[in-house]
Amino acid sequence: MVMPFRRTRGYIDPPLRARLVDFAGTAFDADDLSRAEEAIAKVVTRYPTLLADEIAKLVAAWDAAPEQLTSEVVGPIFTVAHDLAGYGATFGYPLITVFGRSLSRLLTMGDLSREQMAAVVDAHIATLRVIVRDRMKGSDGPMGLQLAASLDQAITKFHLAAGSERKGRLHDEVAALQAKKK
Amino acid sequence: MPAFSLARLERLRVLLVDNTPMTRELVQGVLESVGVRHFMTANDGRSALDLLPAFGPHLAFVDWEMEPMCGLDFVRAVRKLPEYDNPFLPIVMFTSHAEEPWVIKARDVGVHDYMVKPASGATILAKLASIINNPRPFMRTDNYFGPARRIGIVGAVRS
Repeated sequence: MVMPFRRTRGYIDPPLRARLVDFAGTAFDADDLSRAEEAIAKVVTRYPTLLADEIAKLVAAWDAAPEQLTSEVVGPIFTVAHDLAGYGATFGYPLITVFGRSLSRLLTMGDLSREQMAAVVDAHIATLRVIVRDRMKGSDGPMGLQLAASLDQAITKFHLAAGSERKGRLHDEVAALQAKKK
Repeated sequence: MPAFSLARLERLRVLLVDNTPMTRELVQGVLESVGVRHFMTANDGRSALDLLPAFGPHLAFVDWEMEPMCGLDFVRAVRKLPEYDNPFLPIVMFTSHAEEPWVIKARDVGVHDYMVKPASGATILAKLASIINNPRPFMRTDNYFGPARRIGIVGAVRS
């Protein structure tokens, strides 16, 4: 007797379609890979405009946030920061990824007040704006390190005020990024 | 066995779910460069679910953080579909969440694979080939339905 699908326990063989058998043996060579990178390069040219728009969205979301930052309030701000982190490096702006990710992490630290977070969020926004203004592609040498160090100070201060001894580590992260590029 | 022809990928239907249009364009551009022609895109999990019956994708790349329905809830919803609506859909979670607990969470709701943003063209193609060439059995327990879980998904992201 064939068991109804929902009742079956244990291993189930998906149907052929879900196993993608029609496409089995897919393989890509060096030409395919370079065409793929070219496709990314085409999208990249539009990135600086999108980046400026995203940062404007971030500022608007933060400006609209009330004093008590519940997870609902922080949601839209987190989403923009998270998106910035997501594709910065793909489009040649790894500092956007590092600093966007840092902001996302801070925003998921629980229900805090705007006053507690203001300095550290403002510092991240200001840094992201500098990167856009100066079109800082790559991990951008000493200036990248300087921006990271200055954000580290804001992060460390934020943790101290929250009673934690955690320190900002963005300088190390950017330094590692630069070392990897060499 | 004859060599694989990219022309075969013309028939592959791919669903791209991400709230950032540029990310969708990026993945689409990479896949188009190797011959994939059929795409549907959605801004969030809810809109993606609406597209499933008519489009019948072979494969989905899904972001995590989206409103109103996030990628994780989309995966949960797909795995609860009736058999004729393909609850077996191969899903690659494509997200900025790089830390291990997130990967484990995604694995535990039934994603096939996990790809951390930012990703290069080579990474996206490698995931595509891996999903196609390594079909996974599914398993059902009292509290899980999805691809047979493997530790490798976590290790792959960690490396």
